[in-house]
Amino acid sequence: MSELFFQPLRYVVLAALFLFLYRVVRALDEDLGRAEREGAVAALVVEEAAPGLPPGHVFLVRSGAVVGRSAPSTVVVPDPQAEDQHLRLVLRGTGFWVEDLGSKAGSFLNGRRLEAPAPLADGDRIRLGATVLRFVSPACGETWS
Amino acid sequence: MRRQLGLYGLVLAFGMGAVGLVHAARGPREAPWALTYPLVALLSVPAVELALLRSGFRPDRLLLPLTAALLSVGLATLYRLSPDLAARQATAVCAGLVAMVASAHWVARARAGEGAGPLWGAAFLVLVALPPFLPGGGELAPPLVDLGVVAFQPLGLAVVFLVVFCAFQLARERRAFVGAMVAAGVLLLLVQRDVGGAATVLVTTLGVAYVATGQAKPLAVVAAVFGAVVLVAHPLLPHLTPRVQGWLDPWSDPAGGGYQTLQATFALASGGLFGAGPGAGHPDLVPAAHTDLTLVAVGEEWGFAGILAVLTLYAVWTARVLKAAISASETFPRLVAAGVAVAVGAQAFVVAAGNVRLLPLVGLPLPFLSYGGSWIVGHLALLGLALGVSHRAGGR
Repeated sequence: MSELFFQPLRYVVLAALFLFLYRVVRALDEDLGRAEREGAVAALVVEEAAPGLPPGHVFLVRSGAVVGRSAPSTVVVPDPQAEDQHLRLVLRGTGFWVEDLGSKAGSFLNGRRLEAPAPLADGDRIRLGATVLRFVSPACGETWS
Repeated sequence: MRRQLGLYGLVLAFGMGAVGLVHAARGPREAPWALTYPLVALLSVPAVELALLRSGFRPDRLLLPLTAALLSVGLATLYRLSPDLAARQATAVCAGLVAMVASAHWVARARAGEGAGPLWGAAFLVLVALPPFLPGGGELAPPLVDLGVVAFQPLGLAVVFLVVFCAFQLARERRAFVGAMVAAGVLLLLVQRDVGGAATVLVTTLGVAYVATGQAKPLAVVAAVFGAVVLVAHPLLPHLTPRVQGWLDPWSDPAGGGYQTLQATFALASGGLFGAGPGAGHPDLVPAAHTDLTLVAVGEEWGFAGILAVLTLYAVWTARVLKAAISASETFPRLVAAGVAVAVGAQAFVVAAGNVRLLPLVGLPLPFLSYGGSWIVGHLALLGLALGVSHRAGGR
């Protein structure tokens, strides 16, 4: 009777140890994911812009990068129609999203006005004022770090 | 915090489940209160982590649960061998947790430029030189000091001072000083015929020195010189010969020098994939199963699965301490964490290899698993150093 009871029980106890290891490995994986995301870099390539910003210029951006006309913005575009801080790129899950920061003139993704944050795909065109930036995602081409 | 509690819950489920199964298998011989010692020890780890978090400490979030898991395997194995050993080990764990908190708080504030740097080296040397002058078992290597009230192996505590000393002095580039002190310590240990202890001290120092200087060649030369000295001095260390012989060819003397190796091999073989089950094997037939051959006792009753879990725990433990070293922004904490990783990781690797006959047995305990109060306190103090360094680096 006791054999019947204890035999399966010892596998349950051993399973607890391996479940612990599984949880630990999951936590390690999350750490790696976080480090990778914190290091993730995308690029914005200038397609059209006001004088002072040559087409083809590349901005490397991390999550939280702000595009605007002046200083606190990480990507500064000399565009009279752009706000000081116009739009923002954020990493959500595995991809970058674009978000308008309440600009008067608005931000446009592939010609459509942004009403809410939208996910970005490689090659998408973001327009603010007269400036058009092409988004290059970190998933395409080489790995960024 | 919820994840931490989940991890500790699983540790408790394994540890107390294993102890409970052993208790049931042993029948009514043991009083049920013997169970409370391992329980209290395993509950104090999350309690200490909670207290650390409350006091604004932000240590690595996996190191303490990983240590608790190793301690739970050790306590369950010791309980299997003798509930009395488990009770004493549990007491040592509680004392070690106090040492851990103290060393974590100390290293979180310590600066390399100030404080009594050379004193750490002096403390290390005194502990290493102590055993011949005190009563105790001179035959054992590492030597045991028996003061009547308490018996301890000074080397277990000396390693803590060694790590701090090396990190202190190498952060200030006093290489010759470190070399002289460590050479003195290694010689003192060799005179006491403790080759395993001498190797531990040397490997730990070389690990810290490598992280400090980035130079491998001079360190490899030092290691080679040590190896040559041991080979040449080999006839002067008569207790080594049967050990090496028993490792290479246990059948030449199955009842003498080879006895321990053979019993360990049979025990591991009878364990198989999932082991005989808690309380169902015969780990008591293996000499020194509670100190030198703890992994064999784990393997006999929990099988390959149990050994695999233990080795994975050591690997992740060492990796997390190295992570703390890498994220440290200053030299001193970086060297401290590197020293902790090498001291514990190398000892775990070498002793585990000795248990499965890949290397000869060195007579040292498996960190956090084997019986031995001074080593438990020493290793928990080393863990405290690593926790303090990870806190300095921003934790988590």
